[in-house]
Amino acid sequence: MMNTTARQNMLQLTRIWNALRNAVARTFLWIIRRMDEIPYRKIWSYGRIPVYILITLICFIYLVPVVQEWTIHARKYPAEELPPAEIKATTKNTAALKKSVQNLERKLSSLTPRSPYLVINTSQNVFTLYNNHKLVRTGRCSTGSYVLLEDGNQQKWMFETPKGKFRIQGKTTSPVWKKPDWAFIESGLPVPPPNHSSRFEYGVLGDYALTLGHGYMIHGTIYKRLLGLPVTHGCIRLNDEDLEAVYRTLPAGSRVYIY
Amino acid sequence: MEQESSTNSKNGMRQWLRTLTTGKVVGLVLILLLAIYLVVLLVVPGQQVRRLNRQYEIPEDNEKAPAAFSGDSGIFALQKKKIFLESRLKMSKSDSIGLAVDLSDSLVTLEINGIVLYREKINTFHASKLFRAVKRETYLGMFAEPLRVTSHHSTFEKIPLIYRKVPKDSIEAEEQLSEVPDTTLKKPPLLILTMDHDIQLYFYPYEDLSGRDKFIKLIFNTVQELRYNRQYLSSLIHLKIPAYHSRIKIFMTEREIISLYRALPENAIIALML
Repeated sequence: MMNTTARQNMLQLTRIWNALRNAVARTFLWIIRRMDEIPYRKIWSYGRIPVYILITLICFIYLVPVVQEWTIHARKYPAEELPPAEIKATTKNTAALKKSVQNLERKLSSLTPRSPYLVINTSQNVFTLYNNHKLVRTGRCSTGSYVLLEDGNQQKWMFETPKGKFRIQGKTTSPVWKKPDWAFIESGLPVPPPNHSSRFEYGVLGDYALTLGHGYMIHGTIYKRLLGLPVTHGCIRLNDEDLEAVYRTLPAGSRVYIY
Repeated sequence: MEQESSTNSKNGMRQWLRTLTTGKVVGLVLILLLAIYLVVLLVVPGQQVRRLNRQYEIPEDNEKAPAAFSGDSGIFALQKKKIFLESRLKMSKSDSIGLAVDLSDSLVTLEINGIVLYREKINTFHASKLFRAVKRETYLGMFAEPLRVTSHHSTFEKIPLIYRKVPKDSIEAEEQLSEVPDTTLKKPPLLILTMDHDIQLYFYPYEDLSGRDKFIKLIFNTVQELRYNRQYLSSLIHLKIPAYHSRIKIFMTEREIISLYRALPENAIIALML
């Protein structure tokens, strides 16, 4: 019984396959037979104008800048044989210039502080800690998600880590997160009164927190698998070891550069 | 009856001839306009060089002149370095992030108040001949001050916003919050920064592009070229000499191009050394 059903199915499949093959072959033959009947000349006579326009446009678009470059002639300064007096002046000029370049380099490098500072790259979610002109530590972090949360009443919250120059304004151990209104709105929960107990969450910010002002902080996280991704509400999250190193290296008032 | 049909055919013939003549005249006018346009475009780079040379001409009695005119390439290299450092120092007075592009050492640096935030090696670059065609004092004058970015175009967003509606309940919120952001690149990161003196910095990925990415690059470049042609045409209509865009094409890794673009503020300042 089973064998008969299988044979029937096979026959059905073969029939479908043959029909498909014949259809493709017939279509192909039909195209071949009608190849000579296609009015190429007619099509070309109507279609050549847009083709010419297109070719001209492409030439314009890509050839003009190339040809423009060809028309520019680089200036050549041949080495001249200078009289002894001018050679002396040139040597003097070179020495003065070298000194001035060295001074400028010194001035520029003096702008980099010897004191420790932290650099955050929000595009790659990476931090670098420097101390005494040396790289002390680098690792993954999490920064703002760029989520723009909108409710129907034209109220908006943008979860972005601000860029620029900041200072560590305060340091705390075992920080407690006082949840702002958006944390409840984002979770689909009703917003409680300002000092309601549900606003306080313990242990979610890690062992340390460094405040940057305007509510932004550098703190730990319980979502370690998300480190290296833009997932925060604007704060900077580090793993426990990195956070401890940053906390111990950066005194209050240290600079934090975010880009 | 025959007379009528012959008059009709004569009229048709005349009309056809008139259309043909009009078509020829229009075609000729168009070809003429195109030729003028082409000639103007080919004259533009030379005009730009002359204009810049005139703008930064130093009178011969000026004490800066002897050093600037000197044929000694060693002195010129030092002068270039000096104005680049001066330019970076001026940039350091600003509290916003600036970009220092040092093509002689193939380095791109992001700086704030003179502090290097990030430094990356340029893989390859190609600069317009205009920078070698201008006089040396012109070059020194052009780059003595940091350049300001006047416009920017890219294939990726400067601010990668994700729009989200407030969830109706905690179940919907749970779904939203459990989403892990997708940071993979959808398009190859291509960036153009247009600065003062119509200098353009093109940032292209150094990595090999796939067929699809090459097509995206082609479309991006075509759109840019069409934009310049529109500017050229608009200048010509207003009887002005169009500005020549001197291009510097820099090839870097994809991730660095994104970091750089997103770090720079609007109208960022750039110190440049070729």
